[in-house]
Amino acid sequence: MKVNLRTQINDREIDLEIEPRLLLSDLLREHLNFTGTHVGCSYGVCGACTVIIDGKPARSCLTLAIQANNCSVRTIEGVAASSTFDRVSSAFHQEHGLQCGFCTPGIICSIVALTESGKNIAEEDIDKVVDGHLCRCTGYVNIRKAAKKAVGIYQGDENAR
Amino acid sequence: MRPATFEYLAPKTLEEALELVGDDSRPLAGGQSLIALMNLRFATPEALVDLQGIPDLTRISDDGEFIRIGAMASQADTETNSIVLNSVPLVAECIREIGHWQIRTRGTVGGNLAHSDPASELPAVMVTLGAHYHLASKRGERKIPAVEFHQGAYDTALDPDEILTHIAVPKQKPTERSALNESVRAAGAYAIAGTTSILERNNETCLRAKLVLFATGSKPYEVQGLNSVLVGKELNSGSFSEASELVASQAPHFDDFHATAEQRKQIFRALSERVLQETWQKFQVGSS
Ligand SMILES: Cc1cc2nc3c(=O)[nH]c(=O)nc-3n(C[C@H](O)[C@H](O)[C@H](O)COP(=O)(O)OP(=O)(O)OC[C@H]3O[C@@H](n4cnc5c(N)ncnc54)[C@H](O)[C@@H]3O)c2cc1C
Ligand code: FES
Ligand code: FES
Repeated sequence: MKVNLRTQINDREIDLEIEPRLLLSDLLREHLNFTGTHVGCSYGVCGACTVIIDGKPARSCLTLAIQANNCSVRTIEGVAASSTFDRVSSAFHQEHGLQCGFCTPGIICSIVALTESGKNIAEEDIDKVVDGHLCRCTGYVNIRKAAKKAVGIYQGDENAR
Repeated sequence: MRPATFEYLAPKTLEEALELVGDDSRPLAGGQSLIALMNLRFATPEALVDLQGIPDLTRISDDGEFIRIGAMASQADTETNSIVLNSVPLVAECIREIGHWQIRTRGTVGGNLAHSDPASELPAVMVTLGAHYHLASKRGERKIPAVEFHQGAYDTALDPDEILTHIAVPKQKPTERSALNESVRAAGAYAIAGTTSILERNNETCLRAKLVLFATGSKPYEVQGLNSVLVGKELNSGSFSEASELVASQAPHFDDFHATAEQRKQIFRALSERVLQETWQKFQVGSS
């Protein structure tokens, strides 16, 4: 039996009849064409599918779309449209925080949620957030630098350039 | 990897939910274990009863003697809750070791306990602190100690028509301190071996000691005979080392892909000595 889903995704109001078994990751990718949300493992480990649900980072592969009923969901597309995104994307660019980019949308969603949590961010918080993501190519040294620069607690190593 | 079909039910009250659960109609909490199992088709329930629409189940309150944690309180909210931090600090300390922030934002306290993973930290902490779980069904309510609730790997005292509503954790007394220590392959991973402990003291003398092992066999294991090694003694590294020998002799010795039996024994010896020392140090700095 289908169920009715009403939710806000990025700036779109969604009102859809869906199957309960539809995962949020599939709703985003297959039905709404927000393909910036990647799917790696489908069981919560890799973090590629991380989106922001009501301000908090969450795995869209471990969330039924219907669990997001009456919620507000932001994907990397929504994040990229925000005014603060320039700083994040230039930090990842300058610090070489990505290579193939498969893990990047998830990492950025987590970092943005951390920034918006209002917490006074320390280096340790960045490590805890990056912990929740697997990257197979860039390496965490650059990802951590990029993330720290994105939240303004690292200015970059001028001598390295 | 997609779940098989099921019916989705979203009750607004506990009473409605109790009408709906039973047999193959299972509660859905944060989904951080259940949806993963369904994606892999290890679980194919006929119906899911989503508990997230029942606000009562998320409440955390101070009932005087106990801190009451609603089963649907998210792990992330619980670890930062001031009541929890002040009165049952080990619960917050423990939750920070569960998975990642991105998991804990949706994962719940009740879901973690009902899942009863043998490698999970929280059941061991609840056994250590002597918590009670409150279960409800159409037949009525009952209260059960943590140590009786966790019956084996992924096996609990819950009947199919029951819902875990909240957990009552005794508040930490001024004379008590507790700690947790685990060995993991990577940050956020399940433990290969873990220990939790609580010590109660009168001045420099130990009044009560309890040490629980997890990620060992099927359920949290309370080390036997610890009181005779520690109680009435002045606590120091000598007594902790003696206690850790006792732990090593009781820790289950089996080989698996994480560690050999001998390595496991050594890990448990080291962890238990460390966890007792850490618990003791918390008295010295006056912190919790
Ligand atoms: C990548 C990853 C890493 C993780 N690492 C750890 C870790 O290090 N340590 C750890 O302990 N856990 C870990 N977990 C598991 C996590 O803690 C889960 O959140 C938890 O096990 C299940 O909680 P949930 O709220 O998501 O429950 P669900 O997945 O929704 O439910 C789990 C089970 O409990 C039942 N259930 C849920 N609520 C109730 C209730 N109120 N009454 C009766 N039955 C109920 C469900 O029917 C189901 O069988 C990890 C998970 C992931 C994905
Ligand atoms: S696809 Fe969701 S965590 Fe890997
Ligand atoms: S940039 Fe390739 S997986 Fe991270």
